[in-house]
Amino acid sequence: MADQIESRRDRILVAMIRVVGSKGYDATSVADVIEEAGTSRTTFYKHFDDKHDCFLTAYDRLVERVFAAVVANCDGEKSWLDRVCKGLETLVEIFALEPELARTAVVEVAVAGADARQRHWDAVARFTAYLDGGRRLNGGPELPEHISTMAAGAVSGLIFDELVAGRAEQLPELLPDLLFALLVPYIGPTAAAEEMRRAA
Amino acid sequence: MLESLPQDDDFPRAFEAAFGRLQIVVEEAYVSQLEWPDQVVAAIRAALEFGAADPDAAHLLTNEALAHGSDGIARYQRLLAFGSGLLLPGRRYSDYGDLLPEILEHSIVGGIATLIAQRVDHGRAKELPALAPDAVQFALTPYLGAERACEIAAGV
Repeated sequence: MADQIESRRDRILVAMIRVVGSKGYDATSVADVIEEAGTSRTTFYKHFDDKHDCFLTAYDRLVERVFAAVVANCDGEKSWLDRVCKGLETLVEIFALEPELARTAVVEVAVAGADARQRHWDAVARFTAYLDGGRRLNGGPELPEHISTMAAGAVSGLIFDELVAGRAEQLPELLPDLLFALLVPYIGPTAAAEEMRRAA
Repeated sequence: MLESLPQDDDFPRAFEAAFGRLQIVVEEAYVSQLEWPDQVVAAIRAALEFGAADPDAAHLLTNEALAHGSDGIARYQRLLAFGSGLLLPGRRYSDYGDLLPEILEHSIVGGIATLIAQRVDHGRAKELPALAPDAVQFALTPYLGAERACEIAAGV
C-alpha cells in the first residue's frame, strides 16, 4: 500500500516535469499534470498543496537524479579534466534524450518564481563545487573564487539557447564548444582547444 | 531574494529603459580606453558598478527577463549580444584567434551575467564591484592566455 502511494506521487512528479517542459510553467495546470500522470485531483492534493509545491518537489528530484547520474559517470575518471569532460558529456546526453526534463531544469525554472530560482542557484552551486577542483591545476596560482560560477553560467547559457530554440536533441553536437567554454578559464585557450578537438 | 518588480505590461518599457542606461555607462567606459584589454576592464567595471548602484535594474535585465517567456528571453539575448560585441575585437588582438569557437563571446557574457544575476538575487549587489578582477580574468583568459589575463586582473 505504501509502495502504491509512493508510486502515485512519483507519477505526479514525473508528469509535472514532462508537462512543464512541454507546455511551459505558466501554461501548466494541475489538470494537465493529473491527466499526464493518470491519477486523480484528490490524489494530487493529498501529496501537494498546489501546482507550485509540486513543481518545487519535482525540480528537487530532477536535480538529484541528474546530479547522481553525472557523478556516477565521471567519478571513476582519474583527473579533474577527465571528470569534468565526462560529467559535461553525461549532462548533455541526458538533456538530449529527455528534452522536456532539460527545458524544465534550465528554462522553466526561471519562470516559476523566486523560490524556484533559489533552487536553481543551489543546483548551480553543486556543479560549481565540482568544478572548483580545477582552480589549482598544474601547480599554478589558484584561480579566483568566482571563476566556477561564471564557467557554469557560460555553459548553462549556451544550453539554454539550444533548448529555447527547440534543439535539445542536437546538444551533443555542441559538446566541443561547451567543453571549450567550460574549460578555458581553467586550462587556457590552447589546451581547451585541444579538448574541443578531441571531443569533435 | 528579489521578487518580481514591474507588472507584465510594464516589463518591455522597464527593460528597455534599464538596458539603455546600462548601454550608456558601459559604452562610455569602453571608449574611454584605447587598448582593447583596457576597454574590456573598463566595461566590466562599469557593468558591475551599474548592478551595485541599481540592483532592481540588474534584476530586471537578468532574472526577470528570463522569467518573462519568449519576449523576455529575446530581450535578454540582445543584452548578451551587446556585451559580445565589445569582446569580439579581442579575436584580432589574440594570439589564439584561430582556436576560438564562434560561441565564445556569448558564453563569456552569459557567465558574467550569471554572476551578476546570482549576487543581485541574493541581495548582495553591493559586492559586485569587488568581483571585477574575477570577471576580468574570466573574460580575458580565452584571448590572452591565463598568465596575461591574471596580470591584468591583478591590476584591477
